[in-house]
Amino acid sequence: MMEILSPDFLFRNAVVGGWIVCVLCAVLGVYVVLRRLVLLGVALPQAGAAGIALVFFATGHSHGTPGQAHTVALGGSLAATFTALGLLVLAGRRSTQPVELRIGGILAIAMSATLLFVALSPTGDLEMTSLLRGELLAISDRDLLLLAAVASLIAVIFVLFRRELLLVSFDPEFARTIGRDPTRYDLVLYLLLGAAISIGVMTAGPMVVFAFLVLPALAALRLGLSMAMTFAVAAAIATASSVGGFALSYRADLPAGPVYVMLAAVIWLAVSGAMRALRRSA
Amino acid sequence: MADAPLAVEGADLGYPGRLVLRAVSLAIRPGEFVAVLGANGSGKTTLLRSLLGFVQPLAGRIERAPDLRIGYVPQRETLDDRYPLTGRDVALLGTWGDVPFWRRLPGSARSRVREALDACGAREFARRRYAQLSGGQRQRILIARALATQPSVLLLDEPTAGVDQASEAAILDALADLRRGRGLAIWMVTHHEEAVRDRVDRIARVADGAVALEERP
Repeated sequence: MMEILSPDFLFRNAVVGGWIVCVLCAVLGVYVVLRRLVLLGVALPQAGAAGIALVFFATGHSHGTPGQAHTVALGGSLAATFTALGLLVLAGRRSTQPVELRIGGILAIAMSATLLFVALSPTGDLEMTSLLRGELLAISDRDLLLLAAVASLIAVIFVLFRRELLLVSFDPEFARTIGRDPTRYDLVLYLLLGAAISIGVMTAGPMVVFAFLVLPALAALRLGLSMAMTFAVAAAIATASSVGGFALSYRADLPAGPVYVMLAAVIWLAVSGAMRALRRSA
Repeated sequence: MADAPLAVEGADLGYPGRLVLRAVSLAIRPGEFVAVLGANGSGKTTLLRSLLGFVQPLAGRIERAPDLRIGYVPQRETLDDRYPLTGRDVALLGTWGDVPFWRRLPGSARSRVREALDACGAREFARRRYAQLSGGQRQRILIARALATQPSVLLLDEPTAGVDQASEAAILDALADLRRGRGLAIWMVTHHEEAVRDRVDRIARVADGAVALEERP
């Protein structure tokens, strides 16, 4: 199993790419869980998938090389994710309805649009379906470089604004009284989430992205550590689930994404059970 | 109103299409302790939010001194227990307004928080999880956070709601000490007139769409 960590391993890009996506989603997921944005964590990956399906339907799959197809798909994913975010923010300014209702509407539209665009696609259903599920095994050096660059940018912005993001998430009214505009920093968080989800959907698919936005954060938060340690533990769980998940799926010849998710779920359940037992015995 | 760090002059307060308080005129004087009293739905929160600048007056004006710093203590129920923060972490948030996002938090911010926790008698439990603190302890932490912003005016939204009598007395004593020791102007929304009557300089009664100020002897 250790061969998957070797630099010469055939699927090295898949291991590294999956790891980057999972860690990125796990860290941002701490805010998704704390701010009760879990439904957004389902809707945005689905919007990204709808965007991929739309561009493939609209352009008729005439993208030349696989690299070009990936670029087109990434463009569709980014455009659809940020359109969905923009609609949520704009509608939120005028609406008194709970945001969950609008997110639910976007999720329903995105799910049906994805299926319709796949059904209407004249050619290449298979290619499109594999893009929608994420193409971990097909990550090229160029894709990996792009993924690493976007992930690094997200990480830098996240670290730079770590205090502001916590402040506006925990107590937005207090943040306003000390000169930190919650709308502005909410936008920073949404932009980071949008970028991570877009590139994550392209790489690992909407299911893995959603699962890693939720499960590692749920497990890490159960441990009752500090905020910094919660981020670190969520990242560690994502690392164990993705690298371990790839090794298991490689050995058992199973699809990688579902194994990643199952491993993260097992860790979450184990942590929850252990913490419950500890509390009972205390 | 010349020396007032914050003054409201003939302001109609409320929200577009919903006038809540009419022709409000008041000034927050340095070093005074004021209780804002009124029934549920009378407009206490609208007054507080207007003083904080969250709600713009529909007519009239609210004037703030250029160097005005308001320390705000919200109702503690508005804060989410699930955040993995200690009491000290919460108090530390009060110093973050002075530090640009690219800078590390200076040591002076930490000493400011220590002082604020001491002033509120909150240091002994500040290292515990905020979620595990009692109502009175949380309130002291939130007051310490407001103090850490180095305010000249402290606005508190029902700081003694849902705490036992001993904790209420301790919180009110701590506020009185802060007013005396730091010269803070303190405006506090409360339902407990009995508890505050002998401690405050003025009472602001909010009723029937108006604010009436009574001087205490």
